[in-house]
Amino acid sequence: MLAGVIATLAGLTACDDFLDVNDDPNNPPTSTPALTLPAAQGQLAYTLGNQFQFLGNFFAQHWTQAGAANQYCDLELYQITSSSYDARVWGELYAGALNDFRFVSQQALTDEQNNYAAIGQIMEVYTIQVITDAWGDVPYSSALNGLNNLNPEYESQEDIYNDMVVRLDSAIALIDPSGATPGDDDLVYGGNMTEWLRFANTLKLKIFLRQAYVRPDVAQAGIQAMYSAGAEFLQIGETGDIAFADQTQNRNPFYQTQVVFRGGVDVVASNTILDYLQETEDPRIDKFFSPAQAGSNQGSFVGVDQGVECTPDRTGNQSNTVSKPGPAVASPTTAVPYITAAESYFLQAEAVARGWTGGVGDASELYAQGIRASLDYVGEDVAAATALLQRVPYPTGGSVEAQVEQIITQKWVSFSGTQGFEAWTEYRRTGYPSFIEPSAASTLGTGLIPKRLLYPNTEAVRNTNYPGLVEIDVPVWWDVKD
Amino acid sequence: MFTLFQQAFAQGRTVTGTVTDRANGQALPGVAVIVQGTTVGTSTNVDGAYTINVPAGSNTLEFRYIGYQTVTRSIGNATTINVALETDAQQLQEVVVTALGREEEERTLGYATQQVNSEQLTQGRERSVANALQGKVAGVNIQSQGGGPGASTRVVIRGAKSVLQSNQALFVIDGIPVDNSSSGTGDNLNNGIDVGNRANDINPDDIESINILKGPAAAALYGSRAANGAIMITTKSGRGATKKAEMSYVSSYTIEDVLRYPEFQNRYGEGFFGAPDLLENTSWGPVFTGEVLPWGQIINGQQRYKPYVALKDNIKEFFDYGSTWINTISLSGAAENATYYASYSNTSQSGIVPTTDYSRNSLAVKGSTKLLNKFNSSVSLTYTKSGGDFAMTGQGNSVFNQLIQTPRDIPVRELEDLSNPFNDEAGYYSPYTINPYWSLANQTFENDVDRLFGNITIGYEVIEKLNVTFRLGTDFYNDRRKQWMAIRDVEGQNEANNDDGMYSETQLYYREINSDIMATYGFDISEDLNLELLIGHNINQRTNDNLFAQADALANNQFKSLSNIVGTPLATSFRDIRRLVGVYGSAKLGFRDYLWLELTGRNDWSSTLPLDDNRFFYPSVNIAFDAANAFGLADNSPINFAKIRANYAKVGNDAPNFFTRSVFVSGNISDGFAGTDLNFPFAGIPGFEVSNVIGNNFLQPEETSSWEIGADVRMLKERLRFDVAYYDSKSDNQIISVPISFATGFGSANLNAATIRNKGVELLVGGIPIETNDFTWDISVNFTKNDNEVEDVFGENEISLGGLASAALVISRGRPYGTFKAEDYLRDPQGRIVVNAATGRPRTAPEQTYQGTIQPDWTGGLVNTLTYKGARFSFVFDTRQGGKMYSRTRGTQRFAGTAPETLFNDRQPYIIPNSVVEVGSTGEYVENTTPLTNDNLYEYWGNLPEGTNIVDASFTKLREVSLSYKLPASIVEKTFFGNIEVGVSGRNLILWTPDENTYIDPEMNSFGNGNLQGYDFSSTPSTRSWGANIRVTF
Repeated sequence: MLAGVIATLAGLTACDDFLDVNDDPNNPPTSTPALTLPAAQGQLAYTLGNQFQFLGNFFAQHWTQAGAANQYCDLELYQITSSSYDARVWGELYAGALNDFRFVSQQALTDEQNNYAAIGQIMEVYTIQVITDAWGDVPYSSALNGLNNLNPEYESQEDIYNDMVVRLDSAIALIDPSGATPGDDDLVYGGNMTEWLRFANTLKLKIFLRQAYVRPDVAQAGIQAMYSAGAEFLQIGETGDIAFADQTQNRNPFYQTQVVFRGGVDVVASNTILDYLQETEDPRIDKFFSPAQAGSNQGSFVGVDQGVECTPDRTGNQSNTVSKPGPAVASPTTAVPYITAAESYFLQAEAVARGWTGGVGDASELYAQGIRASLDYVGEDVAAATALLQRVPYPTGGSVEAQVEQIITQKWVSFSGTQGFEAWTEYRRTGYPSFIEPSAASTLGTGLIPKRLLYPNTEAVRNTNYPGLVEIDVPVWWDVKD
Repeated sequence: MFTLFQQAFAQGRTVTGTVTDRANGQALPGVAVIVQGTTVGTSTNVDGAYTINVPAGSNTLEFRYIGYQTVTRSIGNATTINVALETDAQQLQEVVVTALGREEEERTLGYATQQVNSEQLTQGRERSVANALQGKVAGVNIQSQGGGPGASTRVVIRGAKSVLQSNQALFVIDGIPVDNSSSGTGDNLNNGIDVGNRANDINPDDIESINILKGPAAAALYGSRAANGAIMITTKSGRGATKKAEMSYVSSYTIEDVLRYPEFQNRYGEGFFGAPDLLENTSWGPVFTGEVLPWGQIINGQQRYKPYVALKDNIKEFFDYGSTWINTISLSGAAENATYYASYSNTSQSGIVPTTDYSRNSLAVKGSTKLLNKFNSSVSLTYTKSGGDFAMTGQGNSVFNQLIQTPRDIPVRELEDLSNPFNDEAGYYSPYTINPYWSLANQTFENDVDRLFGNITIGYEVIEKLNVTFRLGTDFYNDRRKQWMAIRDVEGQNEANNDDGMYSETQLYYREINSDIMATYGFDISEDLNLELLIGHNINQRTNDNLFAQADALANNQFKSLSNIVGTPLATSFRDIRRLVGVYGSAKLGFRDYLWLELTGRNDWSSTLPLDDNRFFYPSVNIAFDAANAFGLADNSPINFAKIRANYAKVGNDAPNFFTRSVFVSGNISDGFAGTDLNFPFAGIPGFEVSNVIGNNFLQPEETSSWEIGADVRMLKERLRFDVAYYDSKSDNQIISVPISFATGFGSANLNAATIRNKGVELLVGGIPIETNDFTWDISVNFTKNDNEVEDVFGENEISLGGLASAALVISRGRPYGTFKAEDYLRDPQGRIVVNAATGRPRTAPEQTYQGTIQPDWTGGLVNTLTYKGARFSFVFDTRQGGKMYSRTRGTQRFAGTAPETLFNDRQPYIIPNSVVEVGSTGEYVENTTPLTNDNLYEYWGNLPEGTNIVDASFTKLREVSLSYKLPASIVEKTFFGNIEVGVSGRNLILWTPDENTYIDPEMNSFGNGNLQGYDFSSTPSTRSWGANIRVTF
């Protein structure tokens, strides 16, 4: 007892030490660019490979809802609400990916790790482009300030696009391949700064081309300047992506959510792409999709008309009686690309086709390279491209628009199952593929496909600068082409 | 002569004697024997005997004992003075246990308390202490959360106050706070399991009495955790025992079954679109015909046949009768200067869901001695081993979720034999559900808790009436949990349910240490004034140290171990610690036995607040005035007692752990589905992200300030009693993680931000309408009305307590704590339902609406006790009126077409009454002409806005009925027993709910006993129970 009393009294006098136990032992108080970069890269890949994969592939009509379930009918009905992509997408993109990339770039500058700073900045630009392409005007300059600004102001997409280029240029200037580089903690390129430079250039090209219809002069000038400076872009084998691992909670998020958790009952091939792949006898068909496992069509590729299973005309057939997403897109280890080599070539092809490269490059050859890179990426023999190109020839000598249509249509094919969000976004920009018709279950006006996402409910409640409801059929700034 | 006489007295003399209770002649230990006009005194020993040295010049002895009339005797020449004390009916000497384990006379308290004795507590033979209090106490909301064995209970006194921290009353056993947490399973939506709350470890048979301290003023000396009130449990100690050893044995056996089954339609069977479909889990098929038809799959060319008729009881047949067998044996006694109590108790419960069970074994010892040199000490120790096998609740694979969808003609019981090829994973009839019996056998959850709590108390009487007490207590446990989900790997129609299996182990370790040193001193300032002082010092430390490991893909179904794995196990750990140091004091002034004024103050230093600003002080004052005594009402009016009480208190509270600093956290991102996260390390690479929560090193303590007035009036010789209280409490500066715009780069910031107010009335009316020599009828009614309002949550912010995205429970300014915000119909300006012109189905409003609160309008209880000679009959009604709950059972029954309401218009095409369609996007509305048909009736019922699943949560229950009979002494004397009592009892026997709730017992909550209440998410139904018991003493 005496010991107890003494201990108690000692406790009283040595109060400060005794009470200094409020440092969280479960989580570190500090981090480094090397420890935070992979977390940021992984989170961005998860969002693109999961919620935005479903959304984009449904809207871009690679995938559709199967008959015997209705989990994703909201996507077929185009009934996106303000809570659909709230905390788990908007929240993860801002507070997860973007804020973590910001930490990486700022901490790296403090620590004089310029290559980390460059990667952080490039990925910040990539992330904010995803955000603004989805929601239009969004918080940007005033964002990421924590308690210093609890109500970040919304900024026009045009201003954001302007600043993205500035920020990319500053990132590019930081790249120093001879300096200290990241290792395995860079999940994209393992610290290969040459590839990061090409990634940055390709991203910049993508940013300019997004403005091809709204500000062709700015797009042209920007691209011209890049070509004049001899910019290099991503090449075959240099796809910037995040590989998933076949380990607990490390697997591809589409695989985990749809194939494992949902038992594969929802997502099946849309006839929109399946018809096109069959028409063009595209060898990638068995990579993007798997044949029906049961029923009268067992063993063959058969899809469902977009959205029809969410209408009164539905068949109610189970998902295994039709084609589901295939091995290249729905495996535990399927990677989630940020920018693929194929996309790089298609972007270059479009720049050349528009005549904005100062005569550099051959659009037809870049288009062919795009197809080859896509075949390569899904694990198909690149040689098969030769035959395929006979069936999807480049319209050399055709109008610029005709060339762009062919480029975007093949780019759309290459996006199937892995880059849904970009496929939908490029469809919004260009209107290609031209054979896309709205979902049979659409609740929007005739001919309409969603043009943006609704601002999240959390913004309405938490941010006094919330600009109010902007309907789903209102185009974003760069979306001016019919 | 005169001189001599004086001399003789001056030498002093010794007086001895025995003090007994006049009513029964039993010895009274602990009676104060004082030589009047001196400080000389002693007290009687366990045999009621005393010896006292009377100094010269004194000639009067005073005998004082709480609850008895004080007696004075002149000594004269006597050397032996025996006294029989009479109980003091007028003074109502109820002694209750108040904060810090103090024993005080109830009449002197300026705040509300309510005592429940052992008999009231154990009459219903309920295994849970909290459940046993239901309906018996005003101002206390006690809600049992589920019907599974060992399920948890929530106890909230005078309304919810805290957004983030616990709102439950503090449980205190013999002066030491003990843990009553309820650690859920993390994923309540998909596979929630109610593992119970830790107060379940307390054996009701060990309890002597419970005193409930209702307001902050009552518990102010406890400090930080007192704002929610306290349940002060006093365990049996052997005190008052009249023999050196008494053994008692209590045994009870109760049987339970489901209290409330949902109502089902019995007209349509398995199928879809009005046509038969043998794969279906829904009852959207044709009208029953009675024809003998095949059902289920064709396996090896064979198929089962059955008549196509409704099986009214197919769901009911699934459930077993549950049972609870409680056996307690105890030994108690008192010897000279010592008391002891020891008990062993075993509780075995088997649930209504097959395979579920719960057991509790507890061993308690308690003893006290008076040592020489004015020391006294007591020791109490309770070891409990508890645990059980539980069934999952929620969506997905839970048993009830499968059952509730089962078509009306499927014979559930025929699915039981899992070796039958029609019933196994591949052969089961539907791919949309799984066989509930398979789920029970192959998806298991068990836990095992070892817990020890107890204390050592040492007291020292420095000088008369100056006592110093040191009490050191601890409470620690280890809860080991094992969850198993077998691999499913089949081909064919049920392939979509294939699963890699899962096995996880969780170890929760908790330890609390509490130390108090107190000094009390009481003295008379004058004849009319006396003062009692208390000062004390407290240290409290609480730690958690948990481990979790999971194999999320199994190698095979052969063994339950973490080594049964494909890939790498996921392992995480969690630790926390918090410390609090406090000093406190109280001064209580009594005036002429009818006016008491108490002031208290406490100053705490907490580890969870910013280190350089971690001190906070809070005072309270309470006053009690007995008008009956003051104005002599007792003598000239029927009023025996009329106490008016008032108090004001402020209580501070510290922050949750680790709120003062921002951190980085290991990377994790989730889409909300089970097991689909990306969790770092990622392919072996670690990753730490900036935490989405902003820490705050400028936090201030939370503060609850409250005032209360009340009166306790008793008249007609205690035959009639009123106790009324009005209170108003405001919890301010609440520390919450305020949700902030994600565009800030974060999701929330720890700030002092919320204010919640509770105002209410408690009323207790008791009476003894009939009292004769043989027969007594005692009745008591309690009524509680609490108004709760959130006054501020950081501007227009809204905090979600959880639930569903489409039907969340939120905290929002100007509304009660816990308001449903849910999907609603789109309505035109006239309030008519707007439908989709093409389908005739209702449209959902773009914005969610507020659809009622979980807070009831009022609650009440009625307790009746009738005694006739040795027989005692008691029954308790309990009611809760108003308030809402979300019923997923309703949603599922509509979707599956088993709800009676889906028979509307006999499922023939119809236009939703009074519905309109919008003309284009014009905002103009015209009458709807599109009917719902068999093609989309299922979609209609299955996709109604979630808000339509929110139902009235009012109920009335016949909570408890008990009948006991004590055998007459004439019979018992012939046996070797001291006492024999036999009884029968029942609990929750009848439930009344409003007509709109045909689904579920509104007390159910699937999300455990935390702040998220009001969700039936396919939880195990509640139960009613009845049984018999016997108590004997030797």
